[in-house]
Amino acid sequence: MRLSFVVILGSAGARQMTISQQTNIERRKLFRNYMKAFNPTAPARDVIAAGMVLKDLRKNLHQSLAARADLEPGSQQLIVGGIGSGKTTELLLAEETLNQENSLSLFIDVTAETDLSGLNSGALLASFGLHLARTISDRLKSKLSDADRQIGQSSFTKLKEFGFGKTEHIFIPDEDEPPFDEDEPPFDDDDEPSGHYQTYRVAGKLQPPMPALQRDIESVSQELKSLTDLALRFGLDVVVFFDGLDRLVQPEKFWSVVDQDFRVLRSLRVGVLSTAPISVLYGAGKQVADHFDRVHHIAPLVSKAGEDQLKSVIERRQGTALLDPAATSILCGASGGVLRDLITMARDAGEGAYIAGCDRIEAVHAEATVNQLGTSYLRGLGPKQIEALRHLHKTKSFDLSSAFNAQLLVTRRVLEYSSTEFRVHPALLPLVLAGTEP
Amino acid sequence: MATTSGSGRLGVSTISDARKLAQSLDARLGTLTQVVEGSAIAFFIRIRGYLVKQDRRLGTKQNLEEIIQYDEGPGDKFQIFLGPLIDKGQEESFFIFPSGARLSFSIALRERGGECDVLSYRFHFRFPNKHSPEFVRIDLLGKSHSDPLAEPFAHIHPGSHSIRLPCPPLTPIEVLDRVFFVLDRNTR
Amino acid sequence: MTGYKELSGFEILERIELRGEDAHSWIAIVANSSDGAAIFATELEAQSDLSAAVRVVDIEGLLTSDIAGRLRVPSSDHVILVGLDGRSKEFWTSLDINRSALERSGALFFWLTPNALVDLCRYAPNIKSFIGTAVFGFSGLKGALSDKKREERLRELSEKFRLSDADLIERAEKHAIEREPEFVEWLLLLGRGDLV
Repeated sequence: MRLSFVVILGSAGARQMTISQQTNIERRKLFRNYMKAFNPTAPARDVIAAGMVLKDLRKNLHQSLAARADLEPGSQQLIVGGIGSGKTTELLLAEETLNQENSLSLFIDVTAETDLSGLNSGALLASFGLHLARTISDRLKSKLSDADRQIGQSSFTKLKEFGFGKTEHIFIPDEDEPPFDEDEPPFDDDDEPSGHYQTYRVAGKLQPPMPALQRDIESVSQELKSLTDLALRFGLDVVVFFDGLDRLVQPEKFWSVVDQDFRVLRSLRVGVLSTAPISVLYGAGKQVADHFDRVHHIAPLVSKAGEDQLKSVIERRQGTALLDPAATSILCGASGGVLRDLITMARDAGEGAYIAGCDRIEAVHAEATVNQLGTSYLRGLGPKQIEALRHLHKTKSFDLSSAFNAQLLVTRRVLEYSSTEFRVHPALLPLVLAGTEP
Repeated sequence: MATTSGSGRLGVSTISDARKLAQSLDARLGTLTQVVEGSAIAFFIRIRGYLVKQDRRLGTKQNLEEIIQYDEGPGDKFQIFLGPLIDKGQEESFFIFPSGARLSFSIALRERGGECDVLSYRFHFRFPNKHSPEFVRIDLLGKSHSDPLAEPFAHIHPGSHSIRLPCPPLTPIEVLDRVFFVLDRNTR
Repeated sequence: MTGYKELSGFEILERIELRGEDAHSWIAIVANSSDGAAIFATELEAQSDLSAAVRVVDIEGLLTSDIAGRLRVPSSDHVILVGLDGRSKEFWTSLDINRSALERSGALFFWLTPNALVDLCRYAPNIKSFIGTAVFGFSGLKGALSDKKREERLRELSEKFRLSDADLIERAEKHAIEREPEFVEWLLLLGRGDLV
């Protein structure tokens, strides 16, 4: 590590620092910069803006996503991958790459806007519609005619009701007098009907679960069509990027949310790019390839080329300023090619080295963090799951039709190295084999 | 002609006059006694946090969790200590400055509802070797002394154990600010 | 086997503080009860170079959307979430699905019992991924004066003033000593705060 001295000579009382002081301050600064670069929870947008992302890590997937969205309006593409594989980053890069001249793009993290756990059909459309109305208004403000503005406002109001619900006042007539009563004077049209108003709250789609009504979605499609037609008149194809749907780790949940909504978007010729959980590739039920124009799988980075790429990720973030080559190798190997795990362990190893008073991050710090990551994966596993992992390691066979096994994949205890090759996460494997109790 | 002390007429003060004035000063200083917010444990954490930040700023690496200690006395009493009672030479339990200076202190508190009265304290800052004066000590007594001229309620020892000059009763944090930003030559 | 280090708040914060401002940190703190959360919050505020305030948020009775709302305003302070013990699988699944809604620039501490940690690991894989290896057992506040240190200080006081403990107490009872800081300290160490 380079030492730099700051010694200011001057009159008595001037500030002087010892070498040791300066070393400590510099060291802290170095480690702090390192921690900032290796932050696994930093928003993907910030990481991209800071130039820390290797854009060609996934063979420029984002370019191919954007190109298809541009050339095939209305196409629907999925980015599928395990937790922490870099799906959001690729989606954001694709948005950045998309030709903004011909497209009106919307990036929507649905999970940041509404409770997805209660989400059913219609909620994606509601969210999309509201974003679209606002974006059209912002982007085309000066070009819209009064008639266009009215269409936009009307659609927005109806979409807002659809999304957030509305209050209706309904007249309830009195029913005291039974019909056909001979003592009842004949009804006069001039009479005021007797009764009262009652207020009903009609819930919207962006709230705790309501039953999905087909006619609701059909009616909102009309409003959406008004807006997409408006965009098309100005030569703009609408493309929506949905992030967060990969949190719906159970495939049936994913489909219940996207099925109808994505069909409506297709009918409107709205391009869709969305993240999806790894379970949709392997879960029982719908064949994902039948429902999307393209399904891109972001697999863990393994193989020799993969390990080199992982090292490039570290270099890109200037990790080699503090990481010893041996530590880098250990972290890359133990990450199993899962990007977030690599970044997490790199950060953790840095923390350990700093606390230990070391100037470099060494193999011993890397090994300690590998053990901690493995332990975090071991935690919460039952004996049957551990046995299943041992079985996988021994026989290399892994039956994904079993929901039990699918859960191991979704929670990243098992990693998919190809469509047919599955392995126990390398950080977890030694603990499973050693019979360590969770 | 004899005059009343403090009457504005110049004259020679007798020690008796001086003691009376010192008593009056002590009484005034006594009304300024500070109260610290929060529980005693919270104050201990704040004092330690203050020293942690200074440690970082100075680039020293002290084992602050070991050298700063507290004692929950019976009832509502609480004490905070840094370093030994008597300075017998360089020891790891002091807060050591890069200049070689060192600090020790003890603070006594009484908890009262959601705040604490500062009962007394002793802050001892020893300059590096060959410095004159050798040390500065800032004390707050538990109660006014019987001879406030010799020993004011709140006072500073400017390098001598027998010389005590009055000062306002500072809070412990205010004392520490003087230590870290006035007395320690690294930052003067 | 817990698989995490038992650290004091001071030690945990030494690690966290290194991450700097706006680090979007997610950390799990494991303790048998939430009693220590307030102490930890005070340590976090005192020890951090950053100016962010600290809140303890009890999520007892809150829906997932309510929790997200409490974390959003403000989003830059540090929050310690308590009340996560004994939660159902459905709760954890819902929280996990809505992980994005919990994201913020200030640190987020999940204050968990050991059982709650296991539940999180079982049912909330997205949250678990964000926490990663940042799981620490809370061993409480360190710094209490040991009996050995107490005896040492009492011995030094006795030697310096050439008085026994009993002599001091007798003089204090007769109001025959001044309230100098050393005598105050001495009486308190002897458990005679009534004489101060």
